[in-house]
Amino acid sequence: MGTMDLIRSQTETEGREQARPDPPTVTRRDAIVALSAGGMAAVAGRQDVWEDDDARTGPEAAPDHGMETLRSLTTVLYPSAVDVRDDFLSTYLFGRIAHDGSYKEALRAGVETLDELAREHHGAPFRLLNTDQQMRVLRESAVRSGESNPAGTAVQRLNYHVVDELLFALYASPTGGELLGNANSAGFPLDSGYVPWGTQ
Amino acid sequence: MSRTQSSDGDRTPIEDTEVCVIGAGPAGAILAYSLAERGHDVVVLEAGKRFEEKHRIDRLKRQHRSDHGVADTWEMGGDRDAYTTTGEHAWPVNKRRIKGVGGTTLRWGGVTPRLREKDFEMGSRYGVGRDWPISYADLQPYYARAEQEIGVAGDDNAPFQPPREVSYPMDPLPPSDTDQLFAQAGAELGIQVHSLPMAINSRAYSRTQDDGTDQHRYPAGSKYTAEVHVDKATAQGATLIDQAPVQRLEHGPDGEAITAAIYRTPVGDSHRQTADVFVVAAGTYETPRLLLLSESAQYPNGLANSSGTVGRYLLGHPPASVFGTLPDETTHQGEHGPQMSAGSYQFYENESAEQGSINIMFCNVAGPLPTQAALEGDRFGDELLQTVDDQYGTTVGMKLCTEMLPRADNRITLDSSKTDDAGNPVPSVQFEPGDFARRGQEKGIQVGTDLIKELGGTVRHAEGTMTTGHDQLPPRLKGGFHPLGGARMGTDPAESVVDETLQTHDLDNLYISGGSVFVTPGAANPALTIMALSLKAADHIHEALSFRTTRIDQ
Repeated sequence: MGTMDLIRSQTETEGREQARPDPPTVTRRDAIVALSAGGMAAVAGRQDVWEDDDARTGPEAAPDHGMETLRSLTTVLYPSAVDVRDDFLSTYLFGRIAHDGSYKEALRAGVETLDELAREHHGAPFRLLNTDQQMRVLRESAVRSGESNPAGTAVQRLNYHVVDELLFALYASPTGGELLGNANSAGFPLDSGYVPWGTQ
Repeated sequence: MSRTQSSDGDRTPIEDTEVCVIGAGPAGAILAYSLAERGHDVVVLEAGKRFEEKHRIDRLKRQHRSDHGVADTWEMGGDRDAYTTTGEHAWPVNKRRIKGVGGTTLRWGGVTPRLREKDFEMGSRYGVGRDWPISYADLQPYYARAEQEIGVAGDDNAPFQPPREVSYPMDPLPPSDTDQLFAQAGAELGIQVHSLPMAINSRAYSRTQDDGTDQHRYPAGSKYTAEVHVDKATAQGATLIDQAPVQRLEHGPDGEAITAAIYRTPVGDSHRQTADVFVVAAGTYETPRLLLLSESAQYPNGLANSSGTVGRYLLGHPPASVFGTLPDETTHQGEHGPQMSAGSYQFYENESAEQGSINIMFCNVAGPLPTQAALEGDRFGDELLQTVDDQYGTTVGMKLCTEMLPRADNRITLDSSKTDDAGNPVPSVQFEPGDFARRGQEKGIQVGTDLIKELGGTVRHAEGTMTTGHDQLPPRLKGGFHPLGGARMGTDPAESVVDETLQTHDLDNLYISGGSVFVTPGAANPALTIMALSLKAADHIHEALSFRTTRIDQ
């Protein structure tokens, strides 16, 4: 009669606890893992998210406006200790676009929505606000606090397509796992944990 | 002649069909393949659609959000899937079943134990329930074939298993951290913890005949779905027609043979698929419903229902769960692919069957996962990290299935007060598990509580569907995960619907496969038994077709 080998060696268990790098940085590697956790592959090279738009004026006309806006949003959404590198964002977003071309439009719409909210509250595009102002924009709109709905209002679509995706990308990545002591953050991200006290 | 898909929109019937299989889930798919590979002309009619992988990923991402659920993910619900319930245990039917290519294996956990010897002979052994017309020994070779076909990882040396004559195709999945914790606690309490047999790869395993054509990537890991055998069947010449819900079965003027399956297409066309033999493998809810909807002058109580037992003796595995938190332990939930990998069958067999058998499965995904916790609520930045960190990492728990006894008044009937999207009366489910199951739940909950306390944990939840008000439970904790019965096997045509070959007593060319034919449920997850029964039925159908000298005039 066989039973399971129960006791893992102490050293095996301890080896799994990893030292947290200082400071934690989300890199291209994190983006690749998060993409594959979502069943997508990363792509080599760059795709243009932002096409030329003659209607844009002022700061929004800057060629890197879109990516910079997303980077500042990401920095606010993520823990303050986490350093958000460009290659993390570009790898993740381009990977998403390669998987689903319509995601480009969702990103552009999201950036526009953020800028509208920012101008409403503080008279300037989102990426030009300071961190406190950016956090206030999120809190005073229904960003995060409102629903995420791909077919809803502009803010609900921002939540669904941009905010939730960016949070998923962090917490399904190795760096996100390290922040929580989860050695295999991408191991089981797409199904729901079994929460008997939940509403599902 | 074969067509692999109706993705081009062509859903017209196939001429010269020998076998028409209704349902492309775990029962229908492997049966279709088993016949197609022997050269038979097979058509599979599936009510739902083929879920393409691109959309699969989007669907899974939607499911991850707390405001979406499994029903949304697989497009279950609405008029097509309408149903009603009576009685105290209203199952959330459309959060359990899936209509589509692959059926409910599209979302199953992949646990594949066999039924035990005693499950087939509850009547003669213990004087409760009823015997099956076949024994474990009769099904044993088919269990082995099914394990090989779908790829099961298991421990040949695990305790409390029924006899097996062949090794599992793959070594067992490695134990998770919480499996080991439970094993340690079990050792202190005299409770054996062991691997569960799982239809999940523990090594590279080819489920197709030709490695080069294996196109399958499953986002949730290398877990079997019935799509594998649908594709193997079509590779052998079978035709799959999806989005083709069968509305009724027609028989000839003398009532002795089925002549056609009438199905409907998305654009509202109606077609007649003829065949020599018909197999209804449409799942526990739709199988008796189709028979009842096919009533006629010769079959006023429903097709193949001379016994009056179509829809009756509905069965399940009334579930319970025990969860807790450990103060000083990181439990690494969600770090390993499989939702479960170990459990205990120590409480499956009892000396005298005073309570239902108990099937304990330890969870590897207890509590919220980081991404799930992160998407909830309204926090961001450092506050969000703190919230996620607080919620994640200390939960342990288990789910358990218990055995119930068959009752004639647990049944599926037609409810004419409500109709589906085609105007057909919907199924109505009446279900009450009974005290035999309740005592099993109480015992299982005690075992789980003892284990968590032995680990120094705090029990947060210890309830079953019979130990608390069923209606008060959230949907995930209600019953209905393993619906069985409704067209049971038996030797007596006055008390059963199909015989030991799964041929209906009433009509020679009508067979039924799936959970519907179970006589008693045991406590083992039923999918492997369903597949074994399908392989057995396929052998019988093959034999019958081989001796056939004339075709039914169409």
